[in-house]
Amino acid sequence: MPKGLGIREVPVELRVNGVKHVLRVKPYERLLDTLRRRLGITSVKDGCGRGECGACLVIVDGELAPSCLMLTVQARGRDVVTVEGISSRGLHPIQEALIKVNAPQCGFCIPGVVVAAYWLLEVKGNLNPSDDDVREALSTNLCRCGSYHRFVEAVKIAAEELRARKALGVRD
Amino acid sequence: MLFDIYIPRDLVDASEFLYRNAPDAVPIAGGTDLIPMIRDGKLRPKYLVDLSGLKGRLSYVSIDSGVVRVGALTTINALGASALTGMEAFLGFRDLYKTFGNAAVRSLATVGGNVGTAVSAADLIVMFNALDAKVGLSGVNGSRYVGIRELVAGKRLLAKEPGELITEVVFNVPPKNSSTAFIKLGYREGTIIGLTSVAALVTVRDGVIEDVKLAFDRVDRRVPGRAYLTEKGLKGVPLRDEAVGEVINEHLPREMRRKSDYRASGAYRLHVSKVLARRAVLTAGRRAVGGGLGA
Repeated sequence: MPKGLGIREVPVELRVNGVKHVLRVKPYERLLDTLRRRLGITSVKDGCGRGECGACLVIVDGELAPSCLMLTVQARGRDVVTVEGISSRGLHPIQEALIKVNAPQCGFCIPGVVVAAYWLLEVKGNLNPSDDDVREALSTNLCRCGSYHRFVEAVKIAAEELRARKALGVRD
Repeated sequence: MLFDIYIPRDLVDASEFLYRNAPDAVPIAGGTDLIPMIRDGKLRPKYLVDLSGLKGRLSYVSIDSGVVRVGALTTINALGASALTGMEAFLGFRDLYKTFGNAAVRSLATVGGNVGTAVSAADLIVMFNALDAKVGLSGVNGSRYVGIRELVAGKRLLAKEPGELITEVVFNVPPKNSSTAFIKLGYREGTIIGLTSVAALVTVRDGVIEDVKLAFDRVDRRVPGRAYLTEKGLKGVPLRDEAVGEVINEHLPREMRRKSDYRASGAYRLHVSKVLARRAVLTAGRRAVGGGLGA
């Protein structure tokens, strides 16, 4: 191992919210840090750092992923979606529903909740989720304010809204 | 958390790099166990060898001529969505899937990675033990297959050569009238190190247990193992609650040595092991005769 371990940088190309980025990152850099520090995407939160709290959730190639456990190098060539992408054309129905039921208290977990709910409704396409489907999809997300029941309520409201839009043929 | 990363061209390249740089190089797949280990300072590798680029070749679940092959880079999500969990005989994998980490961890964590941790909390090792699975290894001197219990030699210890990588897990489809169950007990349903976990494979004939494989997170070592004495005692026993419970209560304490730690006492773990074993055997047995998932 040469001296200056970690000084070497690795070229990485990835898409974040539809925008292609060409970066040079540290081999040990987490996707979470690349998003926050290099790209200014601060919706992803550094919570537990071990995949247990869901505050850093993103969607990578259609899969839910804790960005604290994924090295940026491992995200090379892949498609990353965060809340910034989900709400790029105004608040998403999931966000509106969370506001409507007063789900956010301290708010730290909310971006992760939005991502997990978006994954369930829009990526997996389950627009008619049962309570258990919602709980399962949000099983990563810890909320220390204890808004779990409101999350389930909000996701179901959002699902209803999305179903209605779909029936009317409305896009976004 | 400081390390350099090597992105191999293929499996052979990965093996060669790991071989040349042993023991300073460590393979990374999903990273759900490895990254926290490194963050905690329990592991200080100089190099990580990123296997994520090999996923195309090593992510599969095939069921052919009574043999199941699961690629090492198959994620837990992919395993849960595969044809395997739809088979009556493998309903135990559905049980396992539900309590494995959480939704996001399951989309990163891989089958080979879980086996590679070589810890008692690795649910798939427990399950593969009940199925007498073999693990495919590929290294600089070619490839070979080794039994799961032989491979998982001790806590965080794999009996493999430097440079060898886990490529797949192979096991047989059990005979007719067989099924599986997996139960894990913890303080909550997900994202936990279980206090106790058990996997059972049961074959039933005329209401009687014809054959049974009973695996635990720990029996008498610090890694998953099988309760052979109890298995022997259960053969020929009618598939009924009291009968099964009686045999387990009699035999299991003779072969199981449970340790106490801050999570639970050894005595409690043994008690829970008996209860969960009875439930797992009965559930697997009822599924074996067409009882379905909820049996």
